[in-house]
Amino acid sequence: MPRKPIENADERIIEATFKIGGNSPRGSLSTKDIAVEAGLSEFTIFSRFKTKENLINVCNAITYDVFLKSNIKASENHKDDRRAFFDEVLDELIANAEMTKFAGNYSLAFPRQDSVQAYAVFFDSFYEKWRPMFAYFPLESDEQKFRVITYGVREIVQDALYIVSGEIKDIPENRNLMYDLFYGGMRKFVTIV
Amino acid sequence: MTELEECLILSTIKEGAENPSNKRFSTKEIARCCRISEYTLFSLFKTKERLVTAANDYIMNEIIEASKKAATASSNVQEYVRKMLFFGFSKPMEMTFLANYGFWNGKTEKDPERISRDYEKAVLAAKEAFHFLKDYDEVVYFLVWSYITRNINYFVETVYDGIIRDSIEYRDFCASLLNAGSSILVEGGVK
Repeated sequence: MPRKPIENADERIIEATFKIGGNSPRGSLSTKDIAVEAGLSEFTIFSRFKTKENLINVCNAITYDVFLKSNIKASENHKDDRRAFFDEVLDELIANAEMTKFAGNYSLAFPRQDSVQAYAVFFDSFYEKWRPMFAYFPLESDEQKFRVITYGVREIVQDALYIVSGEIKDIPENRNLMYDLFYGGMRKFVTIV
Repeated sequence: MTELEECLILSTIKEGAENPSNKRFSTKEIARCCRISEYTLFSLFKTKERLVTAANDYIMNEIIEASKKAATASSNVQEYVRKMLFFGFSKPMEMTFLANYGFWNGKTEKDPERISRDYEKAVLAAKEAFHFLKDYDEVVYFLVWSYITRNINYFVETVYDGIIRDSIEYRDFCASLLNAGSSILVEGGVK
C-alpha cells in the first residue's frame, strides 16, 4: 500500500528548525530534536532536506527573505523618519523571535570560522538579494553600500537578540540608546532617501 | 594564574580558533600541548565550558588593557577606534577564537542567572576599559562595550575568512563606521 503523504512536512520541519536552532548554539543543533518538535521522523527530514547543512541553508534563506522584505517595507513607510524605520524593523525581528535567534546562531553574516567557499556562497547570494536596498544608500560604490548594509543588518539583529534573550529590557530609554548606536554608526555615510 | 593554567588557556585559544564550534575542539589535544594528562586539565578547570570561559576572560582582559593604552595614547575617539582595530588585526588567534566561541556570541542563553552574570561581567569590563565614558547607566557601558568588541571582531574576522581583502582603505572605513556610532555616547571625546 502506498504511503500516505505527510501534510505540510517541509513547513513543519522548517518551523521546528527555527524553534530548536534558535535555542541551540552553533554546533549543537540536533535533527533528532527537530524531528520530535515537528512530530516527524529523522528519516523524513533527511529525505526532504538531504543534510543538516542544507536544512540550515534553507532556513537562513527564508530568514533573510523575511528580513529583506521588512527592511524594504520600513524604508518605504518611513522615508523621512529614521527612528520609525528602526523601530519597525526591530519590532518585526522581535515578533519573529525564533527566526531572529536562529539567525544569531546560524547565519554566516555573523562571522565564525567556516570554509571560504561557504562564505563566498552566502555573501554572493546576500549581495544579490539585498541589491534592492542599495537604492536607499547614496554611497559611492556598491561595495561600500554592501558593507554598510551588512553592518546594519548585524547591528539591528543583535539589538533584537538583546531584547528577546532578556539581556536588555525593551523600554524607550534602551531603544533610544540602541538607536543612537545603530544610526550613529551609519549617519556619516548614509541618508535614507 | 599559574604557568600551567596560562598554558592551558593559550592552548584552548589556539584549539578553539582552529576548530569552529560546529566541529568542537579536543581537550585531549590541549592537555597534550601542555604535556599533562586530561585528568590534570579537568582537575584544574572541572569542565570544558569553564576552560572556554577562562579563555574568554583572558581575551577580555587583553582587550581591556589594549583599550586603556589606546585611550591614553589617543586625542580623539576616531584615533582610539583605529588603535583598537589595529589591536584586533594583531591578534588573529584570539579574534578567531572569539568568532567561534566569543563572550558576546550566540545570544541564546536561557539561564537567567547566567545572562545576568555575563551582563555584569561585560559592564565591569567596560567600566575598566572606557575611562573616558562619563557616569552613564550600566546599560550604556554594556551596549558600547558589546558594540566595539563585536564589530572589531566582525571587521577582523571578515578579512581572516577571506571575504574582504585587508587594506588601509578598508581599515579606515571600519574605523569611521565604528567611530561615528560610539562617539555619540562619548562627551568631549577620548580623554
